[in-house]
Amino acid sequence: MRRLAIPLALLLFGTTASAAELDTPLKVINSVGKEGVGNAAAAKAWAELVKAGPDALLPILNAIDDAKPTAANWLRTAIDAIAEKQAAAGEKFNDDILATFIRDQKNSPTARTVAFEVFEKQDPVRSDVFLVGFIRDPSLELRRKGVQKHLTLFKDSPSSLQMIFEAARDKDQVESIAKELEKLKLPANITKHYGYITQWALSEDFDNKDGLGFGKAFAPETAVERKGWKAAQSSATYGLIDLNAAVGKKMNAVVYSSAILEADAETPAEIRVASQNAIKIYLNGKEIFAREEYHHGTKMDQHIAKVILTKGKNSILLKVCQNDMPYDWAQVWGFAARVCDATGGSLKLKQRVDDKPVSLGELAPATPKENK
Amino acid sequence: MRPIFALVLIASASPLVAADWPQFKGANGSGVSSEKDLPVKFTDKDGLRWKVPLPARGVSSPVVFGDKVYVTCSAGTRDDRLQLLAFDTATGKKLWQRNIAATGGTTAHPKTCMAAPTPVADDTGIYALFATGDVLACGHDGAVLWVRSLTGDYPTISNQVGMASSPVLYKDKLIVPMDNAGESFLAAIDTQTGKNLWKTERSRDINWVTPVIRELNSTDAEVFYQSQKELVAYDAADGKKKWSHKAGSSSPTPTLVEGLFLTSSDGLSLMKPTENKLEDVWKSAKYRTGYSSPLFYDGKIYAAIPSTGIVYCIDAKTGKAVWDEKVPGKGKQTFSASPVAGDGKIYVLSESGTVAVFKAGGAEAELLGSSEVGEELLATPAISGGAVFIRSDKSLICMGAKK
Repeated sequence: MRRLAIPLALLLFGTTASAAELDTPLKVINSVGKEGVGNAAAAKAWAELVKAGPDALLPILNAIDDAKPTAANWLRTAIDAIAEKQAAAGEKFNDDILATFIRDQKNSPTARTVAFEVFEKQDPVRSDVFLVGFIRDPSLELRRKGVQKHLTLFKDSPSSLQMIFEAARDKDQVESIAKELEKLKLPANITKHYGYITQWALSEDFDNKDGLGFGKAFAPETAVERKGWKAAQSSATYGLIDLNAAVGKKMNAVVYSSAILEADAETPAEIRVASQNAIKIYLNGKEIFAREEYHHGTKMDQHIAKVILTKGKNSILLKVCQNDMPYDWAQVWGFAARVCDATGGSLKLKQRVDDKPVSLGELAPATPKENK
Repeated sequence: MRPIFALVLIASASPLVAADWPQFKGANGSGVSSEKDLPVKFTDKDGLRWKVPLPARGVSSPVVFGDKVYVTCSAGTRDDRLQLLAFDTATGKKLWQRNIAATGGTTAHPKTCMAAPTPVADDTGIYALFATGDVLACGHDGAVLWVRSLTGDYPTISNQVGMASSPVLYKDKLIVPMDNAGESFLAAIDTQTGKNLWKTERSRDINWVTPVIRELNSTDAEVFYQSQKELVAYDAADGKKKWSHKAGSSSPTPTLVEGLFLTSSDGLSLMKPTENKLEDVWKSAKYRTGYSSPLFYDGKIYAAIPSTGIVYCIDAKTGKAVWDEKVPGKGKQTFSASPVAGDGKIYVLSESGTVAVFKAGGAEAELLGSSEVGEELLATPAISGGAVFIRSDKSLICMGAKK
């Protein structure tokens, strides 16, 4: 019993004493501020953590849970340094401590990902067992590994493939699984999977000469009424609304796009937008994101605004600005937007179209029409 | 020009530490090494000191300080895992790696990535800026000195084409170029504390140029920072604008060497800096170097032209081509890496993976050697310790005799 009790104590309490000693350096690192404030003290604290060696692993991982991004980066590099010392000495971290931390999804996705990467490096065989369980992980890195593992094990099972599609978040994996499902003549609606808003109402255009329209509050920013706005519906997989097609090609112009979403309950969400144009995002009349950048490239989810949707109707308004650059590549004017959870998965939200509730991404293509 | 002033300009062009290659294009961005007995070619069996795989992609250049060579990489599906790695120059053994998460946006043109700015080193440590606006400062032993999130500090920073300007060092200052579509600035960060010493507002325009330090005497220096609109000279002590000149370029990095300023803007321009302006020596629209920066070496200028795959050797006095030569390899070659020089040799790396070495100068082109890496080469190589350090999209390669 005694032989069992010692490792159990180590497992449960092996780092407890050190955690108390490491409290101060962890607090110092977690208090680094803007513009380099606290960096000099943090460097000393960092050295203390590294000197503490493997006992510092769990306290550092726990500290990452509460850390702001810059502090989290300090802490992450301390684990790098400790892991290198361990490897050089031919020693390993306690697998059980790592495994327990990774399994507990109350820990932050960032910290669990760091823990798993340490685990994976020192024990590839045991860590492989975890992969199946990552299929719906809040950490996108771990979820990706889980999706890949499921594909390796279950790709020949149509029902499994549908489940993996639903769980996948990364575009390359989603597209790859969708292709397999299509071969099996099974549904794979990428637009719905990602929660793209496909139905919009578009305002008339406003002036953006010299880019001044970006900062000017035109009527749609304050008025609730959307009478006379033009309906636009996307038939693109990734929800693109081409404003050149929808309202006509214009230079130095601003167009607002409006969508009303309905939530069954107060819902934490992310509004994610992709656009080559300068963009502002408003939720329920409040500006929540602005990026004044034109024609520098676009990719899925390039702009992310974290929001809380209220129960009932939520008004999403996008301000999409075009400038007057003459080049061919600068003639793009449009956007794609979706509303999703923190992992990028769809939420149970509805759009009211022709007075009928419709799930995001479910609309069939339609021709533009007046919004009555 | 006053004689003392001219002497200082000449002195500032020589490499700071002969054996080191501490920043983008070597000491003060000259692209020139004082090393001797440099190699001209290699194969897997001969002339290759070592080759090691890199954990992820990067288009930043390797830098060498002391017995270590440093590279940055960016990894992950979202290109948001930022890495700084140190390798032993003699063996290629990885000595340490520090990983941080991107705190800024990662949208970029697919040709580039978040590991695009080249790190810079001195005896206090290695300083890595990433295209996300994250800065990681480490001692040469891998101890973290400080961490900054410039996007956290100044949230409108954004260049969705992908930032690539590299930081430089002047005494205790890390000079950080941050021209972008949002809050733009040139800043000096204290290498010891990571705090701003000064921060000077700049026009909100994207830019990929790396600043150049012009030492005026032992205590005074100017930071030359060029953009599409103009070249501005800032006082290195306080960041105040001293003077500017309408010499615009937003992509190739200029060179200040032998008292002359070489820039690539609608072709090549050679100018002579005086106390508060640049005087034209010559300009030619013929030599358009694209992303690649021109090289000034031993009275000649070398320009790799991506549209034709041709390297030019140009007389620095007249701007006239002395010779031109196609870089060998399959098909038409193109260039992102800048040519570098040392030991009378010009190193030109093509994007498709050719390392061509030409004899410097001469009346006609002389190809001394050509090697095929078989991997994409976008990063400018580094020269140190009798070897050339080449970074591909997959590997770090040390071209030179085994130690």
